[in-house]
Amino acid sequence: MNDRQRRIPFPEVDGKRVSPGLAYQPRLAAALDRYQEEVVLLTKLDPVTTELVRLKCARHHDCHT
Amino acid sequence: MATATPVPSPTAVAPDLAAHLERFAPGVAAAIEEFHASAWEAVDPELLALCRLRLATLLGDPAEFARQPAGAVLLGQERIANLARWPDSPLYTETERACLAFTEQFVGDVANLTDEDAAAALACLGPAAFFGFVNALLAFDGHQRLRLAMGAIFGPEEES
Repeated sequence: MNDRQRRIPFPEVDGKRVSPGLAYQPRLAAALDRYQEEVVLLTKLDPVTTELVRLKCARHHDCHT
Repeated sequence: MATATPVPSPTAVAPDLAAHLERFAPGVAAAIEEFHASAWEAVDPELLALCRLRLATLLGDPAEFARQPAGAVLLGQERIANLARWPDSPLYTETERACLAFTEQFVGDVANLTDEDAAAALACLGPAAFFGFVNALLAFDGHQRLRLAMGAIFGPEEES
């Protein structure tokens, strides 16, 4: 397994890949999406600083998406 | 870290953090409560309760250790008191040990979680529960760090 390979297999419905969140935990995935949307929509921090924080978090979590 | 019986809380999110969020980010306040409520329903709540308490210990948060959030189950005193000894204690199952190991690495150095760490928990839980478990850890870790940061910045006098 290389460092960009998925650890959780892609679920398939009728032979087609679907979002793991929708397939495995739809309520939780929707709640996480809404939470992250609310955070991104906050306006008290300027957009550049917000993006720097987001990138810092992505690096901390070794997230490449 | 205290090992007294946790005090039940009417909400998934800690009241002091909820108050700060209502003040500064009311949209986030509602969303984070739903995120946590759905996390408790996604995976075995006893497993999540163990990992959440371990997380509170590692982050040095006795208040969260002593709180039983809505959705969590009440753990036995013996399992709470021996949680730091999970690698060798017979009080914890193979699944719980795999998930506690994952939790410790997640809290301490998430970027260096190994394929072996993930594979052990994935083998015990299966893909759907593992997906839920990792997202629940994300919820608990973010909540506890945010609560500690808010408390350090604003102090207890503004908590309600």
